[in-house]
Amino acid sequence: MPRRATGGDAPGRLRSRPGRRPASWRLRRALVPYLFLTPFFLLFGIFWAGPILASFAYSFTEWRGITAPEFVGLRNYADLFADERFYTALGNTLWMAALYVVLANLAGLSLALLLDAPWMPTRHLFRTAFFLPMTISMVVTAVIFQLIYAGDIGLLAKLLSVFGLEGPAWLRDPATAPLAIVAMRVWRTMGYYAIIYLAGLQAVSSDLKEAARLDGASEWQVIRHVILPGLKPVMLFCVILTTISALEMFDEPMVLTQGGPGDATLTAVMYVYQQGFQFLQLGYAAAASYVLTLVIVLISIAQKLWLGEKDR
Amino acid sequence: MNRRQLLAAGTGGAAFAWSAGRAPAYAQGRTTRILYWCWSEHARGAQAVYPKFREQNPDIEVEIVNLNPQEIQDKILVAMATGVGAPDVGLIIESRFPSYPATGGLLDVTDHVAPREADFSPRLRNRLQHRGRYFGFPYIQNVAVMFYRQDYFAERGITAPIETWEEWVEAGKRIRDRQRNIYMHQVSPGAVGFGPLIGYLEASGTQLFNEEGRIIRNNRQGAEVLRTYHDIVRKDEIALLVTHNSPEHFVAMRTGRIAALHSGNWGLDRLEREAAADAGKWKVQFWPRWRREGPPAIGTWGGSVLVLPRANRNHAAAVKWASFLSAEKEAQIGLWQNGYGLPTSVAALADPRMREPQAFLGQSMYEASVLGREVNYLNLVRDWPRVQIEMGRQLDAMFQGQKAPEQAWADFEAAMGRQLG
Repeated sequence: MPRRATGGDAPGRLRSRPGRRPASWRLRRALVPYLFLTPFFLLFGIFWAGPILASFAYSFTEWRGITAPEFVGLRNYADLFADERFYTALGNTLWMAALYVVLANLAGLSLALLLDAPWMPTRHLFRTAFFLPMTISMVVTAVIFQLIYAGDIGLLAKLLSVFGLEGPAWLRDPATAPLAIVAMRVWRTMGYYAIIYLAGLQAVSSDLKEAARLDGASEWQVIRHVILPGLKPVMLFCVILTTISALEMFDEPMVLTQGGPGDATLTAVMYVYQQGFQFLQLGYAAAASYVLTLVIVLISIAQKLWLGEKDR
Repeated sequence: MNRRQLLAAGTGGAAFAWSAGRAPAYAQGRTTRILYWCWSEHARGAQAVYPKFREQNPDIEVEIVNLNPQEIQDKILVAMATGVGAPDVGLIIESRFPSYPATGGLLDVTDHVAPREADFSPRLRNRLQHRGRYFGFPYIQNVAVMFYRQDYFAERGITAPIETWEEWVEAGKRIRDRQRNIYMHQVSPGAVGFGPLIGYLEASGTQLFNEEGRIIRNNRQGAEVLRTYHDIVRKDEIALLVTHNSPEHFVAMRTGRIAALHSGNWGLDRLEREAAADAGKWKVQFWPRWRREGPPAIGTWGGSVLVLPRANRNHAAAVKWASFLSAEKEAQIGLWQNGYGLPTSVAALADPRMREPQAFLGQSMYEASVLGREVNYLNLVRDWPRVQIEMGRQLDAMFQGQKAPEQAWADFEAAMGRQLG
């Protein structure tokens, strides 16, 4: 009992201590949590918020690098909206992104369902195998696909020739070059999205699936009426993720086609890159990147509202 | 010893150990280490002549970094604009050089280049200057040449060297007639195709821009060159349309699908790697004349310049390395022997070693393709990437049959007028 009494007194003593400590000690103690948070805010300020605000300011200037930026008001935005290449780039980006989002999610989800099926042998091996393309360097992937798409010596051309068909010049035809790029991107990323969908599938109640089967539902009906509704939050996440990444598409067209043929695969980010880092119009490029950011934000909000609404 | 003292002692000890024993020589002030950005054959050339440089400058270490050429241009430009991340010495494609001095990020090297003006071509005196001051060191030039398969030519009774473009096209038809899946040479679409096109334009004496950097309007000669570029692919069908330096192009070289390779001198380096098994079968000749009655003029395939970003601190060491590569006869010869970069130094060009045969060809590339030919050059403008991209768009439209070459040229002129004034 005496030990309990001592123990019971201890908090009281502790509570009374601050009152006896000097004000500087209390101030220091109050500041400590903020001190621990400071590195994050410093890094965030320097590498995120700072550049975002600075580039917004630069979007109203003409700036070619070292020479001082010159304020030009809204001229960069006016020039941007008058440039037909910007609309071409934006149009290409939007339709390639739409196609990519649909195909990547369909492929990822299908793959996840397949890898989750109990009858699938060595599915753990396949889970790793399908993720591997994500780990391959983009340049290596591009070289592989250049050889797949190459004129009459490419893998696709050889396969088609077996059936007596002659394929197009995949990367030199404006009709097929964007499709070729989307296909390569889907191949690269579907394993990654399959893993996310697979994680989502684990959260779908097996009792519900079992109950549906007992009620006589076919496998397709189980997927359609039990699994897919259960996966909606994951689908929303994957759709937004694929949309954002597709709207930022740069590596694949840069390495495979450099935006060609013509401007058939010129994406909005490539346009920004050309203006900023090749033509050294950094203010103009900043304006273009702000418009692109706005487009991404609007599309993400629309997706959230649409899918969120359906979810309710 | 409390925790703080222990921590302080540990940190101090580690710092001492690093500074005393672990730090590299350059960090201890014994040597200066500089960074040099270049690409493939130039990296190999630089590695070959580096021991000679070290003999002369034991206090300077050079880290030679091999990067993608297009990547270097953009990276250096951005590094200069931002003031961080630039190499001490960088290699710039000559046509891209005019963009750089205007940024204010290059070191003025007039004191090192002007005294040896007599040792390089007057063309470079103009190209490397900005407002009367030098901002780059002459490095190498790239004359456009034609490599060809001697065995293919002999089988079809074609005698090389072929003097004119007209004869070249006729020879190409004979190559194709005998075997439809073999082409005379290759032509690139897109922006990449503009590099090779420069060789055709220069050889014909065509200019895109006047001395003041204004686009030349109603340029019939330019349209005529573009017509030829189009016809060899679409009408005469002697040229294979594939992107230059793509895997498809390399496979064509390796499998003997092309009887010739239009390229700068450095193309020999590419052939040695891609078609090693065909050593001795490949030969080289000068670029065919545009017209029989004209001068024996040829064009270029680029050329490169050494620049020193101002933001770095090792200016003295960087100047020594750039001067060595640019002005030292032994270095210039070494770059030719190891990377086939044609010297800009007049003294190096006059050296008997320039006439030595290349083992892969079994002949002297310099004698067969350059010597005695007049080299034409395009006037450059500051925004060269715009020119490259716009011409690339027109080439694509032309090869896809969306417009005639004459229309493509007119559209190119109009676009350049809008963009560059």
